[in-house]
Amino acid sequence: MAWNLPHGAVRNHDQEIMLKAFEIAGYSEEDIKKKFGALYHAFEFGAPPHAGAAPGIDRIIMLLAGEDSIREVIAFPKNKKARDVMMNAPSQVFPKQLEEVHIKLNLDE
Amino acid sequence: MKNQYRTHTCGELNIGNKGEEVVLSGFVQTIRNLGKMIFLDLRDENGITQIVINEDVNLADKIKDLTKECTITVHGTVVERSSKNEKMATGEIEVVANDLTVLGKCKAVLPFEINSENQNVREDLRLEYRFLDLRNEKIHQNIKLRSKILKDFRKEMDALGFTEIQTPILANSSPEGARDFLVPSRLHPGEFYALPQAPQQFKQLLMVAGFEKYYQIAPCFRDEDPRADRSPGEFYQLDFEMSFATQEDVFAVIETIIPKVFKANSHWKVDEGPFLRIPYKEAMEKYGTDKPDLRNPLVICDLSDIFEETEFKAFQNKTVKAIAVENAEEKPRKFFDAMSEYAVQELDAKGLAWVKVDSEMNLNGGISKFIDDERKAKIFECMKVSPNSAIFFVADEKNKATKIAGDVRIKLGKEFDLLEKNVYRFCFIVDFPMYELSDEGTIDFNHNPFSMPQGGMEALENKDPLEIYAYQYDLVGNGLELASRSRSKS
Repeated sequence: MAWNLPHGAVRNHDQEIMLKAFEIAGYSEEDIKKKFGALYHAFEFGAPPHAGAAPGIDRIIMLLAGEDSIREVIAFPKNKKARDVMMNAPSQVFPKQLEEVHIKLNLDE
Repeated sequence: MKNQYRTHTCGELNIGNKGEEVVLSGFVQTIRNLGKMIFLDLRDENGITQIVINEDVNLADKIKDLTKECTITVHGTVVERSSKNEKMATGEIEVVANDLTVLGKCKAVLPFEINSENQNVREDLRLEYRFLDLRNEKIHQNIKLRSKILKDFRKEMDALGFTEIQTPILANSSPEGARDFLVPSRLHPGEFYALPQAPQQFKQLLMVAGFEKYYQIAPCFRDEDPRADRSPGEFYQLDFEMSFATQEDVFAVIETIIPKVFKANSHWKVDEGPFLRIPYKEAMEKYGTDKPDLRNPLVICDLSDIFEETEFKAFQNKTVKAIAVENAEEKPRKFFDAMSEYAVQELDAKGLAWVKVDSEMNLNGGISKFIDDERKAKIFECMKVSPNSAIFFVADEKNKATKIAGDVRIKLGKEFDLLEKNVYRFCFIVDFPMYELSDEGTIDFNHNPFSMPQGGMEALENKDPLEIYAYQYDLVGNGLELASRSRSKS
């Protein structure tokens, strides 16, 4: 399953229609429950019809500032390689920190 | 704010303050040592004031190590300047110092000049020293503008009766969107939180919870590859959701807040609502993109039918898209060659065919020999063609032809300087298909699986899935997709 996340939309708040919509795309009720359990379950309790959107703030500021690069409207942006070269992120952590969160690294040499 | 550091800001003194004893603090922007006197430009967030240090004032010790970008406090007297600077708000006066204290010494060598004319600093160096970079006026003002815009959005959402609600940053993984940023759990070995790609499910659950109008300025996190118009990793959206509401109700909110916030923060002309609603299919046909820049007047026309039985090999069995541009007939051959070169190199087109249209509406050059009178008449019937113009043709498989024509439209808009100036043009793209064919030929969701299909159950049961539209929409401003972020699939 790979979809894009939120667009502005009127949401499907009706379980029956949702089941059918997923069925057409080849997904079972089990698939929905596994992926979106909370939401699907909540729709059993009288969900109101609803709709929304999510205008991107960074792009709006870019437009208003007349900038072509989004980094010009963010105080502390990551660079083009997704690094924070000022704070040094991402960075390595102490072995103890990894231990605490039960993680072993498996890096290619 | 008056305290030991300042009685005034560096931006507010004028001739009316002449003779006053003042205290100013700020950064030393420039130092000009003329021997008998030293001039400093003292900068704070509000402006710049010129400071004069006369030789006879005994400040030599204090200023001997003074360098640019130190922070200092100056006590002094406001005097009228002999040579005024009309470009500066404080240009009629200067402050003659009688005391000066260095507050924060700039000991290190500056990696780049602050507020210098030369803005050609390597971006990574700017980012490494962002705390200095942000002293630069231009970007400093961008960040202030950002603050103002956020405030304005909150004000407008508040006025419309929305409730600001924060949703978790440590959320659950939902790998069906983009790639998640994972946060390992210490307390629950082997389990992970994920940073939210958007508060999508939370906001829908808030609707179930009976909050009828929710919003927040929501941080969103996606582990995707960086692009010019994206901040890698994290970004913010004005996330809102309404109960008992239709698509038009959502549009009404956007059409209220967007023009207000844009007008409050720009002198440009701003489209008033209602914004143009363009069905996705029409957008792809006319503009070759679902993010059309409506400042560009060029429109794409599909001429596939006209060239169906053409003897011109490149057009045979292809989707043919055409764009007519006025005042193009005079362009030299090398311009047309450069356009073709651009299409082939940058857009992966097989070529870019063209014809010139002269003042008598005769076709010349390019592929004119393949366009007989009958086809010519049909073309003129199908699209608006003016005398002294040119028509560009893209021929390819349908999706590719659409995309290439869309990019050629943008390029021609730039080359001929056709974009409307100083204006924000908005539109909604509506009627996105609910489903699409995957590469494997199966039916999959086109975008958000939680959108309501138009026609509801009836449509799902009776229509060809590929013919079903969703109640799904994007806001596009000057060619930038605003109301949603990513269309690309991971």
